[in-house]
Amino acid sequence: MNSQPLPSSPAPLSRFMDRRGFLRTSALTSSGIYLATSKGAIAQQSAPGRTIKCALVGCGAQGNALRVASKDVPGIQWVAMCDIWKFSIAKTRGGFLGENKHQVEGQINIYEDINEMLDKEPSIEAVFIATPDFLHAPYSRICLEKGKNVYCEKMMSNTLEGARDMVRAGKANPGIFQIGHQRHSNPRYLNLRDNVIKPGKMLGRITHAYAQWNRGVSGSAPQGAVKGYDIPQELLTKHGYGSIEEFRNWRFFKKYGGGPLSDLGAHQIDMFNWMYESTPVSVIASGGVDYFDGSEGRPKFELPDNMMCIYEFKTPAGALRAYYQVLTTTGSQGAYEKHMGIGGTAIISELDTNGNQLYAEPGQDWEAYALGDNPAIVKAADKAKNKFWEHPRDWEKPKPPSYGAVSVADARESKALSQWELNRKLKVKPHTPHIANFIEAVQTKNPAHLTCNVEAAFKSCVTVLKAYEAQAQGGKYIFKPEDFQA
Amino acid sequence: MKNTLHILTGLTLALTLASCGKKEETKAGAAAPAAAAAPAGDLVEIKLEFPKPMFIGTPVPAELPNLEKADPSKVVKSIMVPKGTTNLAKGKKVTSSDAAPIIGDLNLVTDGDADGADGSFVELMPGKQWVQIDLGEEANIYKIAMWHYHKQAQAYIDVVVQVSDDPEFKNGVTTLWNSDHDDTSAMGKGSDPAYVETNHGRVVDAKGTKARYVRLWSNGNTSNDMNHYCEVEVFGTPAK
Repeated sequence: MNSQPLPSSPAPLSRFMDRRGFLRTSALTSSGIYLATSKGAIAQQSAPGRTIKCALVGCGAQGNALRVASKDVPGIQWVAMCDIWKFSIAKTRGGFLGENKHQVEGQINIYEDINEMLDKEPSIEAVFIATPDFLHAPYSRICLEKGKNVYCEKMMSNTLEGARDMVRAGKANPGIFQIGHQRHSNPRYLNLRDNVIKPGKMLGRITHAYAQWNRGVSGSAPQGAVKGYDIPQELLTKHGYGSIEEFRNWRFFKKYGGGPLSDLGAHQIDMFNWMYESTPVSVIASGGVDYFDGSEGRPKFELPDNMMCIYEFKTPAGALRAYYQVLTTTGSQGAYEKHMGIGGTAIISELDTNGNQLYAEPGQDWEAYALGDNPAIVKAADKAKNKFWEHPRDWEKPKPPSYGAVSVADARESKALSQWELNRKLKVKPHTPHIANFIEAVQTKNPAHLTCNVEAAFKSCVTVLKAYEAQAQGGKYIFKPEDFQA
Repeated sequence: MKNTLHILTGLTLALTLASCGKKEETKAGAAAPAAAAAPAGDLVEIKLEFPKPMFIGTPVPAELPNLEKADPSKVVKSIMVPKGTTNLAKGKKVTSSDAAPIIGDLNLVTDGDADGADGSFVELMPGKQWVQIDLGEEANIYKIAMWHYHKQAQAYIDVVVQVSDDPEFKNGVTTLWNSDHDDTSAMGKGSDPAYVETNHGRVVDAKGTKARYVRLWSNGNTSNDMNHYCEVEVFGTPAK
């Protein structure tokens, strides 16, 4: 079992919910209690709301996602950015001048080397690291040892050694250290965990979970050099890259990243651990470089382009099996997570348009959960949104042939489940509440405020990376308790 | 330009766009000429060359009151123009309200490459910005094809396309396209739709208007505040 205490601060994030949700949450209900608790905790530290000078290291797609998401977080002042590629620098600079201009005073200082940036910008309090995975560990350590607070993207590292070093660096230094598993701060996910899944709540005993992230070949295609924005080889070499192709496509290579299972799966496999406050006892995994194998003009992945994993958890209520798949050959059904209990099933995704369904098993009465000023669930507004998963079907007990027309229902088919939706919507980017949680923790110098500290993220890193061992061995990996000890 | 617009604020001219039968107000161009008639004589077909489609990522829902519903059947794949018509913009000099673009060079606007990949577009500063093409001499302009950034599904805001013989666009300005539905840019309300960018770009009917300069405005897009151009093609013939 995971001994990590549950974070307890969803309510400050409620400002990111839609207006109706915000008003309801502020009024009463269990979320209102969270709000009071959190405000009390912050008040003790006496410095909420102060401005934190921040730097962005790694200005590619993920770095820009953080920048964009940060624009709705109060208390951030961007002062510097760091990247070795002028294209990323230019793009990010434009974003700071545009979307984030309210968070910039004067100019953003640009650096190619993180050490130079930290030396020349002593006022930086927090560093956001969104580099390729292999730099997460060394860069986090550099920042922490210089007294900075760190928000580092997931997955922590492409190696367990790197992840362990991050935990040690976090313990050895006083800085606030958040890992970017942003679902931990998302009010929609907190609602699911706290009001729907927790033992004794709506879904009953959870026996199975499922998650997938299917991204088609176009989203997985290799990135090429960009006209007018070459990088000298000596600069690439200095920063650990073998070539411009490796720099642009680092996710394909073991040396730099963890492949699709890490890039995409780390978010969702982490959800298994987080939702059930547990770590798995075993994993069965299959996958390989089956399509992006370098043949017929296709790029060559070094890491599996598809993985299918089955994790077994031993929860206090009993066994829970969680299946995960990541495919890069189809975008079919996209990305979502599914939690299946004997009382009902929940489907969730970061975008509520992709996953926001609840289904009550026959005999379950969820009407009471939809009452009050800010209920956890509401009646499904649009059955079309439920797509194929649990499509509405007329169900009638088959009549004997002597009754005339025979029901279309098969006697072995279950009755359709009643349909509901989670009653929380985000009005900001999915990363925004998580960044806000980090900034609040920095402002108040309160590591306990974090929703995803480095110890919790380490367990997810182990859960993900050990699937490769199972796959390489052609079978099953049995987790040892010490695997989860940093 | 802002000063110019203030000076001209009171001068409103109703301009009838013959081809679409729409009435449009314009404040720019005190002495704007009436739109020229549709080109006469023998017309030839020029097929437009489209770059490859490049949608990636999760589309951000574009929400604009004048956003048109996408209709692939209405994509303009070729244009009918008088004989001798060519893309007069190719390789011509481009200037901009942002002399130091965020990404790329201004010459990417007229380099003949409408591709949406990184390295093929110019990104201008946030807010209201323009790019301007100098055709080198006065021309009969029949069609203008434009490609903003089409790698993501987004619509550009307050798109205005104008032509003039005045490089300052103070006099003799003809507005050929205007999707500024609420007159944010103070150049008159436009009735043209906003649209989600694709590799097909958008073709503007210039109706043979005589002009040397082409200016294209935008005011950010539905994903962010930036302004992008992959390519602008100006189909016409020299006026002299």
